[in-house]
Amino acid sequence: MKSKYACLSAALLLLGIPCRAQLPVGKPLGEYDKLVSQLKSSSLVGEPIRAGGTVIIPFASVNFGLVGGDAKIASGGGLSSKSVPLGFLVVEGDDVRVEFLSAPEDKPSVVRQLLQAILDRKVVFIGNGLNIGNADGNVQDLAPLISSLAKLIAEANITTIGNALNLGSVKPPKNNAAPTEGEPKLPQGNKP
Amino acid sequence: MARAGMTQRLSHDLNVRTVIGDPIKVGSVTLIPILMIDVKFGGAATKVPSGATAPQSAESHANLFYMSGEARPLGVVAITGKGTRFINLVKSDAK
Repeated sequence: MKSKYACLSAALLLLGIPCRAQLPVGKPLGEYDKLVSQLKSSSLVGEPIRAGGTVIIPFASVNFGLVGGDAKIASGGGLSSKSVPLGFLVVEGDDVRVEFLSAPEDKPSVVRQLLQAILDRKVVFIGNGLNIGNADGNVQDLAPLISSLAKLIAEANITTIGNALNLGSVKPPKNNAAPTEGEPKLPQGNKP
Repeated sequence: MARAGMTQRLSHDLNVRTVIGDPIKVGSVTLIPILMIDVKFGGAATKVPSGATAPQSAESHANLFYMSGEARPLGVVAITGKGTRFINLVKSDAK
């Protein structure tokens, strides 16, 4: 049973390799013919399995997708196929009954996990959380804002992604003294 | 023409024999699978000619196609000594 689906998947894969489109509906139509011609009932309903006086016939669904494209300097394509066992028929004498398999759990994708984390406020994007641009001031003026932002992040136990602080062209401290340890250092002479 | 070819293919490939499977004989029981085949196919192309001021090499094109599908059994017709009946193979989620 598994080998049958593996063969089908391999055939689908072989069909997909040359599918870099030269014409949008030219060559792919040939692949389409091959694909449809291979979709037979034997791909979905397996061979009967005999066990004593009971016969079991598995059945499954097949999903596939194929995409390709090319432009002047690049081309590409993709193929996916999935075969999911749905259940089996049990034949005992003249009695036929169906037993369903439980649906496989969808493993959430990375994108979905990230989206859920954002909705749960476990991940917060802070893009240019503080942008003072060309405003007058120096880095010492930013200290309360930085500390409050750091406190917020620490208390909420969240992960931040992005630039939390864009200093723009903020000026160095007025006294031109070298920053002490732990104090933010600013690049000199980065005016636009 | 591509469109005529696609129409021919659809009528040729998708017919009763495609969705009614071969009978399966199990003892005195005969099972005939009923299938569903859903195929989508599409394509697009653009071709931008070189402009009056652009060089010939500036001519560009882009092609795209996609195909997706699903095939699954809807049920089987069971012919037994007790009679003939349809057995649904689509799991109903509604409870």
